[in-house]
Amino acid sequence: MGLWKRRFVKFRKSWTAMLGLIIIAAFVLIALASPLIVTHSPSYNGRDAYLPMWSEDHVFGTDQLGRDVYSRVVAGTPVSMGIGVLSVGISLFFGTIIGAIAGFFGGRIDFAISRIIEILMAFPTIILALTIVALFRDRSIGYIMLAVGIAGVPVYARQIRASVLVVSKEDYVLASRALGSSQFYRLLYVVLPNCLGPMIVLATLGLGTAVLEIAGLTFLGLGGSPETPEWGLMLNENWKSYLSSPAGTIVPGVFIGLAVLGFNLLGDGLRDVLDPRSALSKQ
Amino acid sequence: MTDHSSAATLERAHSAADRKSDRPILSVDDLKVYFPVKRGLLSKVVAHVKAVDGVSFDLHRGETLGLVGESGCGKTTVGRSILRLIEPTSGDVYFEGEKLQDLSPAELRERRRRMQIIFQDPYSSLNPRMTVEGIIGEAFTVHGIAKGDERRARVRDLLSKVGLQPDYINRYPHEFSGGQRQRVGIARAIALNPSFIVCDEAVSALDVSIQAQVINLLEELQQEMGLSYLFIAHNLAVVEHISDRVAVMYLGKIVETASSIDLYKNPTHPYTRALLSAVPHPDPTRQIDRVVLQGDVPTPLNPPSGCRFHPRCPIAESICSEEIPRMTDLGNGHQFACHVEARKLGK
Repeated sequence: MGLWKRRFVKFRKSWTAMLGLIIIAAFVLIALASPLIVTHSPSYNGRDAYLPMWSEDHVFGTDQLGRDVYSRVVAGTPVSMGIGVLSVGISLFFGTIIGAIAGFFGGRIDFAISRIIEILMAFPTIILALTIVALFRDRSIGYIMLAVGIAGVPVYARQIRASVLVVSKEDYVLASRALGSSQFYRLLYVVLPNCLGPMIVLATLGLGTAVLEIAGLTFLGLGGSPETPEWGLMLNENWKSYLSSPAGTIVPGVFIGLAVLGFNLLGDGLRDVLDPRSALSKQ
Repeated sequence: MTDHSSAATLERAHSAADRKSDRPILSVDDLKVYFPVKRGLLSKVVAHVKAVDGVSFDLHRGETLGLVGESGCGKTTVGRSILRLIEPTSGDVYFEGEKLQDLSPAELRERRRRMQIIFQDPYSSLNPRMTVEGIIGEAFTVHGIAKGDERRARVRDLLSKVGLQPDYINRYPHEFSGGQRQRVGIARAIALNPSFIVCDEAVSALDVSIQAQVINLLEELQQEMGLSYLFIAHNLAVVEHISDRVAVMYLGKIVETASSIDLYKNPTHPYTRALLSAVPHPDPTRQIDRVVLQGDVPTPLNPPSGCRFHPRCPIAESICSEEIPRMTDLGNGHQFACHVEARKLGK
């Protein structure tokens, strides 16, 4: 209510944040309307392969199998965004549980969890995700999502631990304890709701990274069947013909870039209004 | 409403019985709170900050005990460790006849209905994500006393009791002024009908005009509900007004206790005298012997030997750095801990 309204006013003043919001809103619209706005079936093999951009009937040309690049990239939007959202959901869910336990209970539990997180964070997330993918026999896109989600857990856990640590020290948490609330109640109803701001920021910024990582893994050919219209997979299929027919590579590449940019701008804007440690959000 | 009035009757019966037996509602005996200082990879304890080092006092039903001292002398820690919001290192706290240290976590949560705290900072002590209903009503939710319409009705009652409009129930803390926020904090503290409240610098963060209003509110509530207060403050004028008795703390120890009137008329410990002489007086022509203390409060990490006040004391003698002074009784509950003054008074 009051709090959120003031935050929105602040958010609107930043044009980069608004640009991010517009980009992401556009992607969400494309994703929702994708069955209506495709011109061809994304898996339909047409007569002509390697058509250039702006060809008649094929705005973004066709790929090596004569499939319409525009239709594939549009049909790929809900796929790429969807698995991005789900993998962030996985990271956030487990990251919150682990981080909240470490930050709230402290002591030896915190020590153990923090050291494990530090060890895992010594590896780049993409390497961690690669390792996890290698553990799965199945190569369907769902496993890529799972791998990226799990690989992100340490990052989320650490951030949420930090937020929980800060909020736990507040007087209103002590006041709740003085009223006789249980630890479980305080963590769930007092501490975590006050960590919501940083969590939203984390998830939004994380979506950009997740989309990029998923595209990276599928580009490396680690998941997804060729008919899946996924952006990274499209790059994988088309980059070999980049010099003769660049459309099939450039278009999904631009989509990936725009989605990541949108999430990052939006996330930065949200951080300015939601994160208590940034100067703008002073109440 | 009926259970409310019966609770009040019970309250009166209680207080009558207690006055007769003259058993203190709260009894603190040799309370010590040491915070370990950890260093190095293995978190070895290298020292202790002796925030509270052997504090004892009694508090009777309906009484207000003022606890004064400079910043960092351990006042807040005393208040919080009595409520076991900080676990004391040693010492006993008896509340309504029960030893709080012996209670299990579940029992302690139940007892918290009877003892509450009002915080200094009216900004950080209210959850910014909750409405007033949520903040005050948390007490009822946590103990499963009331929910829904019943809870709303009770919160509205409490709001009018602390002088706020019941219609503020849906507001968020940031929509209030500092004084109003503190009233919300008071409403939360009295929600469960406690018998004892720690007022931890409850008015220090407020404007002087608002301070008076809040203090009046606290006094009214005390009359009405038979509350006992531990009133922690650094402002001596405020403490004089509200307290029946005052305890002066210096570096983790109580140096002088007396009835409010006695203490202000006849301060005995040199530290108390220095504190009182620093209180501004509205009459500029009045001559006072100002005792100006030299230096800063020493670190509680390594407090001075003997009497902890001796490095800053204007009347210190050699014995003061060697021996810890005992409490000397002047009668009428007036006690102080000073070698030199005790000898002067022939005690």
